[in-house]
Amino acid sequence: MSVIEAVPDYDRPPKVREPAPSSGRLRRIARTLLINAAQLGIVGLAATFLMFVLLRTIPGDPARTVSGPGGSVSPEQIARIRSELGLDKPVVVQYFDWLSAAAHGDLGKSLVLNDSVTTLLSDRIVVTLQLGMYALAFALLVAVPLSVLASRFTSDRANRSVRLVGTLGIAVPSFWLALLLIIAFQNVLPTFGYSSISDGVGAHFQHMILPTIALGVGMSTLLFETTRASLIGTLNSDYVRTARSFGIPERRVYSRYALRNALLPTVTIAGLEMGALMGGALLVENAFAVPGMGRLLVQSVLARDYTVVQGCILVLVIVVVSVNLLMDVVYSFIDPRVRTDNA
Amino acid sequence: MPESFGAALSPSSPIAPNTRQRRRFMARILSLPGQKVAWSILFVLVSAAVLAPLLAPHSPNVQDLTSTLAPPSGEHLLGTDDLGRDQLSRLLFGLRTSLAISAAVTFGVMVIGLPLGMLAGFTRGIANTVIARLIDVGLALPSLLLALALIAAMGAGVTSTVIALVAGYTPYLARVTRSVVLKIREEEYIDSAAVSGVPTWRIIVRHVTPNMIESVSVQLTLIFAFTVIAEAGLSFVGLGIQPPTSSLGNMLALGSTHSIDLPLMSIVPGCTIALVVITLLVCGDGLRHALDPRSNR
Amino acid sequence: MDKTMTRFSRRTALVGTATALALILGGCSGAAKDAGTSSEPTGEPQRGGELRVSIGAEPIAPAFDMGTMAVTSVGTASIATLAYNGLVDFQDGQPVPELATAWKQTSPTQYVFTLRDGVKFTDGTPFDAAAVKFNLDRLLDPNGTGANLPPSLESVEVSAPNEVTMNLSAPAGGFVASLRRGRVMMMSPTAVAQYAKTDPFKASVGTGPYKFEEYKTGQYIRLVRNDEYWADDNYLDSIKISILPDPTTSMQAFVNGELDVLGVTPAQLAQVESRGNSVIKTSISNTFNYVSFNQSVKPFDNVDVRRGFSAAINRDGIAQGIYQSYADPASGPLSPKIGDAYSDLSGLASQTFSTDKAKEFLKNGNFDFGTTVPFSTFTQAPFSTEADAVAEQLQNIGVKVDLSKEEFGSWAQKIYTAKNFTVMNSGQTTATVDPDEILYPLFHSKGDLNASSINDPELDKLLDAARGEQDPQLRAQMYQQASKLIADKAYAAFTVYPQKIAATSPSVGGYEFTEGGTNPLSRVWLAK
Repeated sequence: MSVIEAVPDYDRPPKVREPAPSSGRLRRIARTLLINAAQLGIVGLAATFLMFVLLRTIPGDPARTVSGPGGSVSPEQIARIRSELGLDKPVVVQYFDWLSAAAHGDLGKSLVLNDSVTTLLSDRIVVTLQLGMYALAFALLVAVPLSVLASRFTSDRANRSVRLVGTLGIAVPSFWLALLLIIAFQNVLPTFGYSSISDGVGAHFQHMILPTIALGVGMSTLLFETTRASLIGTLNSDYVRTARSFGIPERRVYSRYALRNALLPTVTIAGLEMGALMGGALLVENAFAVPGMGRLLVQSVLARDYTVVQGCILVLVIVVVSVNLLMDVVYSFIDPRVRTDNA
Repeated sequence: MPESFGAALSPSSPIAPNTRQRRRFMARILSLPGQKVAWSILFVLVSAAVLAPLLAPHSPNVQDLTSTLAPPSGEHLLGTDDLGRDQLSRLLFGLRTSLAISAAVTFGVMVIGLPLGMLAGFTRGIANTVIARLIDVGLALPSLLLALALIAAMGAGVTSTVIALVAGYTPYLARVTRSVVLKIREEEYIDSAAVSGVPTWRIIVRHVTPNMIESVSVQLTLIFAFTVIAEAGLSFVGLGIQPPTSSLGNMLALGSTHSIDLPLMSIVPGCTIALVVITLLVCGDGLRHALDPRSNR
Repeated sequence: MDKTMTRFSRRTALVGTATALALILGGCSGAAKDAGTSSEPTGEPQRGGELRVSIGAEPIAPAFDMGTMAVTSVGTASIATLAYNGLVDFQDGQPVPELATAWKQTSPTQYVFTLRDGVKFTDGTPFDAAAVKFNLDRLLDPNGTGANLPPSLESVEVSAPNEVTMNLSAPAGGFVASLRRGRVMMMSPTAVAQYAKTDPFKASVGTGPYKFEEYKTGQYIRLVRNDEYWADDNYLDSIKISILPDPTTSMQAFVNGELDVLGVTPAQLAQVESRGNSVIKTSISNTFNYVSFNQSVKPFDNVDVRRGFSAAINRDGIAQGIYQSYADPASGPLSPKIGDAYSDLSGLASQTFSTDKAKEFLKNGNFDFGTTVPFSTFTQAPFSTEADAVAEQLQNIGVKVDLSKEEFGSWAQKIYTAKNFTVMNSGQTTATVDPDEILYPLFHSKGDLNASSINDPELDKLLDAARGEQDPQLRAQMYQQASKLIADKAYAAFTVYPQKIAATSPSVGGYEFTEGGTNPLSRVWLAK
């Protein structure tokens, strides 16, 4: 589930500001980042509280998941299980109990599965992050060189072919692509499962190749289109023309001038897509039976495993805040002329 | 930049609600290469969806337990599913369901996201920051999570799917709207208009709205297209539209379980989804090009 | 010229993609279609190898603590039988010795069991009468969440180190059968005392052929051979059970040779055969699928309304269409496999398909065809498919049906806890060997699984009497009467007796479906 933000119109030059003195610049960046962090942090916490409450209003009782749905479990036993799980206290109290424990690193025990939440999350987030990173790396490795190549062809027909490839990459649902990949590579690569790096690098990558491709294809076509368009624009811009007129070789024009600025939208979109990557990872994780956060989340919501869902949301919020801040940093270093709190 | 505003301020702007203007606008879109094909495919798809009750050879939910999972035949051009229902009819009605859901979601997103984004763009200070950050967090929390919670609460089905997807995509539109409004807000002529006493709502209507239409309509086309895929994804995990109602998503999900013995069962809905999405995106491109004459893409 | 080029390139792209896809899929399935099936290995069982199987749902914690509700989860209990034993096992309709070598009924309400000597739990704890008492006391504990308590069990005493005396509150005909592996299993008291509350997996220590070694949530459960097993039919080195919720993935894995055994539905058989060398094993058991009506919701307290709904169901169609004839139409809760308690109820109008009779019943019951009837099911094949079929068949006689589907957890709570439904469908999937196990929970007014508020004093009396009856002939007759009553009054509409189907690779030997609930893998061996 991803949406392309309207590619910025690079013909409109960014607002020019007086370049500030270096020391002040760093300090200003730091200050803005801190403010952003604080804002995001507050909203993030609010989001966790909202989810906390929302979970408890959904019909369905985790005590029932633990005890079994049959009628032979008496109401007294259910009540006992609920109080063991801490579910009989008022919601706000439960939230603050959870929050204070979380601050000490204790996220509780899963109500349904056989692990502590911290163990579960740390195991699973590693997997999902790996999948996400590999997919992003795959997407960039495929998209950037191809876009450099394709930026040489700027005819209308070339533009339309590129667009078609781009839409094709997005239009094929990732789980279907996963199935097609499994069929195509049957007997060559494992169908399902996960093997951690510590158990053997070879096996790890064998299990991760197909999920990476399934997840990364959509993003790679997206980045391909974006980067190419951005490159074309940058290559036609004034300062690149100036550089060329100075006799600077084409290779250096590309690498020093064009690419650096052209990658701005790429970075933006890659950052925006991190959230979508999580959602897409879920479907791919399901198809390949990869034990990641996405699958854990679905299972836990359906099983009303409150503690795990809360933990997942906390992790997500932290990831969101970090990615946002990271993007702000990268943005401010790539192009100091862009205001860091602009949308 | 001043040129675009000249265009916006003049009475014959590209989006003037005047038949001749509209026809010229449409003609401009169709004159772009590839658009004729794309729009005709779109027309065929939408007609198929709308006319499904007339076009379908059988009723989509009628079961025939004596011929389940049958290969294509004269009677059933695309074979039957696990309850003997005609796949072709289910495809047509599934297209109808999927397009209807996408339309509903897009409408919902527009109705909520536009005002939200404009509010985020126009307010200043703390209100601005709060709304902006809300949108950021909303963007990042996977819409799937919200969809899951809603569906767990309400049960799977059309209503919960629509609400879940609206909740998932509104932040995108809000964000784009907000950034457009922010950009426009910086233009000098807005300040001069405000200084010269033009009321805010008029500024919005006359100056902001025309410039927003390009970005927003492009976003809406994209959202429309992506909802089709999102619904497929939800159905894959068993949380989307439930049979007996057919949707492209649940047909693909069910067909995937027979990918070895009856590949057609998954290829047909899968390719249909891809076709719908590609067509929508290409038409959206045409729309974008026609709305922004300076675009050189 | 530009325009034609574009049209060409776009169309080419689309056509090319479709062709490519078709080729990939067609090519692969074509290549694998050799012979349909092959046969099992013959000869003496060989020791060694790791068996790879899958399950579709993650076990809940406390996953394998058989002193808790986990034992009622069919998938979990079946895996547990690989690590645990019961006092008896069940074969050919009779209890056979397992951890108990002999038993005698010393009075109508007392049984004495002699236990096997020299058996140890895999943590070294000796298996003795104290261990048996410990396990059964857990089930008797009113504060515990144990399930599958043997009927009428009141207390357990250690009468000697290898002898246990059990006292009942009333006679119970199926008592010994209820102590079988698959239903009541023996866990190590030391492990339970130490770990049950904190780490249920560590507490899962038994005497069985294999022992739990590793459980990576979301990935797999691994068991290894118990080298101190008191018997010698545990041939495998290890068993790896991967958790694969998506049936397409598990099917692909089996076809690719990454799984050795796969449980399949009839609709999947064509795909299994594309592997070319798989062996199909089927078995009929005492399971049945049914549609149930909530009698606390009008008009389903009216017997003719229920009969009308039941008569609208095309059982043959379902058996053939959905189950490809791997199921038999059902007209009562007891299948022929149950033995003497079975009687042929297919003559009953309330359980026979006839649209005319159905409409007649509904007319007699003054059913209001204007109301819409909510029908609740869950999103798991084949139950959700059956629900689709039944809903359609009801609509064919003019009944307006509103079918809603939820995932199993939410559905189970809605039905069994909140009892918030009108019509629902489900299946009785536990391995059952005694009619009491089948009928009491569902149809007795005090039954655990009686979500439909069935309260028939005559039926209750019959079931209570049958439970206590010692004479097997009389008992069988009573159950025949009870099932006839249930079927005639349409307390449920019985649809089919489904077969269990498994596909195995040709190197898997010794795969046997069991009656009592013991996992078919427990005596499996791999041919090299």
